[in-house]
Amino acid sequence: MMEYEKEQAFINAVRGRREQMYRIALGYLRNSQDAEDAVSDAVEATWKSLKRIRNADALPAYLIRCTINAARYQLRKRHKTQSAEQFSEFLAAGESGDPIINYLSGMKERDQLLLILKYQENLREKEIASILHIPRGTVSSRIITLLKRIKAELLEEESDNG
Amino acid sequence: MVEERMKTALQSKLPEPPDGFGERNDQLISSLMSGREKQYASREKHRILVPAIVIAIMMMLGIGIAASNGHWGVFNWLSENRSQEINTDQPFMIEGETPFLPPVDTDHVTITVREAQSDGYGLYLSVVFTPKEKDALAFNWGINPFQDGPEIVGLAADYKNQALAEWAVNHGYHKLIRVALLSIPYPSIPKEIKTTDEMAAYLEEQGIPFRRTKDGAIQYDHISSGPEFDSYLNNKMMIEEEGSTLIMVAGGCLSGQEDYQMNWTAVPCLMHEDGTWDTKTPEWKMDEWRQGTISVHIPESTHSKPVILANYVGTMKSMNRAEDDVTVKVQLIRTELNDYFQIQCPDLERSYQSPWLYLEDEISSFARSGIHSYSVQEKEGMLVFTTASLIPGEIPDKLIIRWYDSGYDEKTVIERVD
Repeated sequence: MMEYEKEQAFINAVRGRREQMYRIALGYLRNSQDAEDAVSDAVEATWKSLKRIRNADALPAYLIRCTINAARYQLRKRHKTQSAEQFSEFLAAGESGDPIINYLSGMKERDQLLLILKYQENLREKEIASILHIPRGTVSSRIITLLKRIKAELLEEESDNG
Repeated sequence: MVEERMKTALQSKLPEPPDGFGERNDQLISSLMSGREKQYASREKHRILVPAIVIAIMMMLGIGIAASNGHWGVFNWLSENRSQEINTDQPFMIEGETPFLPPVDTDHVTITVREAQSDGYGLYLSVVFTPKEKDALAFNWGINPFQDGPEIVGLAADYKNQALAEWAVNHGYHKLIRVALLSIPYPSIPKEIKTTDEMAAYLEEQGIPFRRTKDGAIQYDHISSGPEFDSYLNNKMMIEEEGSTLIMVAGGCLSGQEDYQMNWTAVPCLMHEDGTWDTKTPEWKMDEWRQGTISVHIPESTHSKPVILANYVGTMKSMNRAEDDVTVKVQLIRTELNDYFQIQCPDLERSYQSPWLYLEDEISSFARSGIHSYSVQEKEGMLVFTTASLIPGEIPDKLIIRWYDSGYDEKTVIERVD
């Protein structure tokens, strides 16, 4: 792919995905300005790596991957850790009131990320696999396992509540 | 059912980006693109030969010296961030010679490679662009003179929030010249090449190393064919007397490399005839865009012997249980110019899938001062990543390395073994 075509693909990918990138960054950072900074860092990092990216179709996944890295980097830099409580606050912003959010907020970060990419951002499993660099089958099996676990906990709670 | 509940809960009120988010992001893209416009300009060749004039320099580590005329130079730049606290048994000496090049005359600027240093791992250049007209001011490509202040190039602003262009007009400069220096790392692949076999034949003809993956695809583009750099905002730069601008660049080297080619580019922008600056509308003279190539030659014999400060070994475990673990070796190397981490990875297949191996951010933060150099090369069945890095106060007992794109960001701790 010629450089010019690749750069046009880059612009289109950024414009098409930046709000999604912002939401993912916000999930980590809890701060609008920091999330925007993480998006900018991710855009810049992707730009700098553009010549290494062979397939323009990979750009959206690459941008999201860079956003996750940029957000994690900011967290490390600030020596801030992500508590379940904070994540719960963020998720509560959805105002759904569904207790399912509580289960999500108690999960490991990597599992939360998987479910957010799948159910909040509506990404296909193939794309999630590409972002996280794990086999597609692993994405699928992990999501099924996580959903089973949540389902079991929900049933247990409903049973406890009579 | 759980799936639907999850989706509804997560999507019930998605957070919206703040006002102006899209516009600011577009501005970022625009500024990134402006640094790349030069790629599409026509090229004219200006190749210069390295003169036989050489000046021997002998110096101890940490003693900064710029160039023969006493200007701020490569050693000042490198020593700004380098830790002085690591003692070794061996003092570092530059045993060879530093080449100096005659200035290259172009339509708008005279380009002087004031210093060119290499230690076999990194290339470091100090290049001055001096405008040919007295009322012109040269500045580095990454700067937007209508938004960025003069502080960015080491000048004192006359008042708060003054743009560099305003400063220029107030100080008698009526023309701006945007200049850049960038490496020529990759050849462009001709359009007519369609198949992998054609691509393989072309790469072979060009002498570009490449591999075929298990599925038959060709991978070559992250293997640098030379030092990669461009003069950009995070590079050290400063405006000197008579509107000239000094730019420091760094790039990774391949072993045995002695000749380095780079592109220069210069585009003038006229200020208003009455010497004022009020409409904030730049008039870039695109028809006067000039671009060319210069080269430097640094003999390998000038590289001093590197010292290995520490060795590390660790195992990178794969998320995929079907894959074997990979033993990774890291060496911390010091030369008279800089410090480097050299990472050897024996699993070529996996390395090619995830080539963005890098050390934990605290160590690789050298990149922020523009002194970053990075190279990847295949050597004796291994991929060797070399990255210039800021070593903290003392030699670390362990390192943390990550695959830039690894699933779930698994980290690997590499322990020191000597």
